[in-house]
Amino acid sequence: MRDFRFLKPDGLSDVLEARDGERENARILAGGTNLLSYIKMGRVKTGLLVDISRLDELKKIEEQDSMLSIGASLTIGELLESTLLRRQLPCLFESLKLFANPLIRGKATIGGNIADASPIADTVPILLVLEAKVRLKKKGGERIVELSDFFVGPGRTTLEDDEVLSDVLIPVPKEGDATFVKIGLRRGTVCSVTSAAARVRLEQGKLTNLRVSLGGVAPTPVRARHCEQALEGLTLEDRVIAGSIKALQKDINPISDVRGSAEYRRAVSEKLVVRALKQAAGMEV
Amino acid sequence: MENKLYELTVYVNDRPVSGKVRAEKTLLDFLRENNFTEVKKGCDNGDCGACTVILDGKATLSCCTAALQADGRRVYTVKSLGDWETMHPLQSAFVKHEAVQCGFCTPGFLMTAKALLDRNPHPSREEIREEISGNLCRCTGYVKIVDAIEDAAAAIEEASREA
Repeated sequence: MRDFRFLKPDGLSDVLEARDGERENARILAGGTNLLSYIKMGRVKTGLLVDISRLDELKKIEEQDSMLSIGASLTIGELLESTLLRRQLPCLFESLKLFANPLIRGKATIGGNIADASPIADTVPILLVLEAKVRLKKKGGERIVELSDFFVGPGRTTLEDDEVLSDVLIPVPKEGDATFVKIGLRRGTVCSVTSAAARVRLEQGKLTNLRVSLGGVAPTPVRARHCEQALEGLTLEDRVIAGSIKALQKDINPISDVRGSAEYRRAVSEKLVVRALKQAAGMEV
Repeated sequence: MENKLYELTVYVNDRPVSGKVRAEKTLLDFLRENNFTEVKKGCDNGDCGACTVILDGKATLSCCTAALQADGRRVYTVKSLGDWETMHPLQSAFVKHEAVQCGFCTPGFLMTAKALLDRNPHPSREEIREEISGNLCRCTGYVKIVDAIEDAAAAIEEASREA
């Protein structure tokens, strides 16, 4: 039997109070693309729905000390209207244009996409190569966690049941750039089969400061640290990296599902990473 | 245990619609139960766009919106556009271009298109295609729908020049 209550908080303090009192039963509702769907499926049967969708405190985007703070309740569509984001993080801005479709972008929030902890969450690979952090607030305190340490498994994170993800913190890159390449079976409402992001600097034609991440190839989105190490210092030519790119296989652990087989995901991951690296390096693909 | 009910008023097509709903009731179900059955329930999961309405000026998936999230706000359904005698240019263009087959997806397409033209009166074909990418049609394909929206944009501009 379903048993839900509704709270329209006046401010973030009401949200923190609700989480403090009701713990995981206080369910954060923003865009509704995930939570309302889970309720209809019967995966979530009870709870206090805390509507943060119009909470100004969670809808700010601001820059401080070369760090961009993005409020959790900003929708992807709202982020695509931000001139600050476009100017300071063009790679993230461009990648958000590939997120689902305009109707979903008008609902889905960046905080929800992260906190839902889907292995194929579209905002996450690019945020991983940008070395983003998330701020987790609770009544009387807060902590900041590296995004790469935030995910535990599909749908599971290190968020405590009295905490709320309030904003995403992204260091504004000083050099190099990041890019995001996504492969799915269909554009629009597609769920990606596999996605990849890369960030790189070229020094005398050699790859340095590599950051590579993938979605859809492990229980959580992953940083491909073996791959990063193997490619460091190489020139970005197919014959040079052909052997080293295989290190990527140690970073991933894909499954077969309706969208694609594990074998396909292993093969396409290498292609995607090479493509992302070339795009990040400004080379034609 | 009895489920708690909450009072709300949504302004639908400029008329207040009040009721009592459960916390998890979607805006889509609230509208249909109040006889706004022109809002179509397709996938009920955000995948098809048939339930699109305009909420505070934005094309919005009513199946992914809790009714209580729309409390006190303005919602427009396809019936706000016009009727058979006085069709909106978008509706006329959909008829003219035969951009309708079974018609189930049409209310959603029209609301997405309306919100687009309100914001961007002269979209390119590519912009139109991108904007309607969350609305699915399983009958006609999309070429006629894009043609119709493009034609409606031109008709609206012409009408405003004459006025």
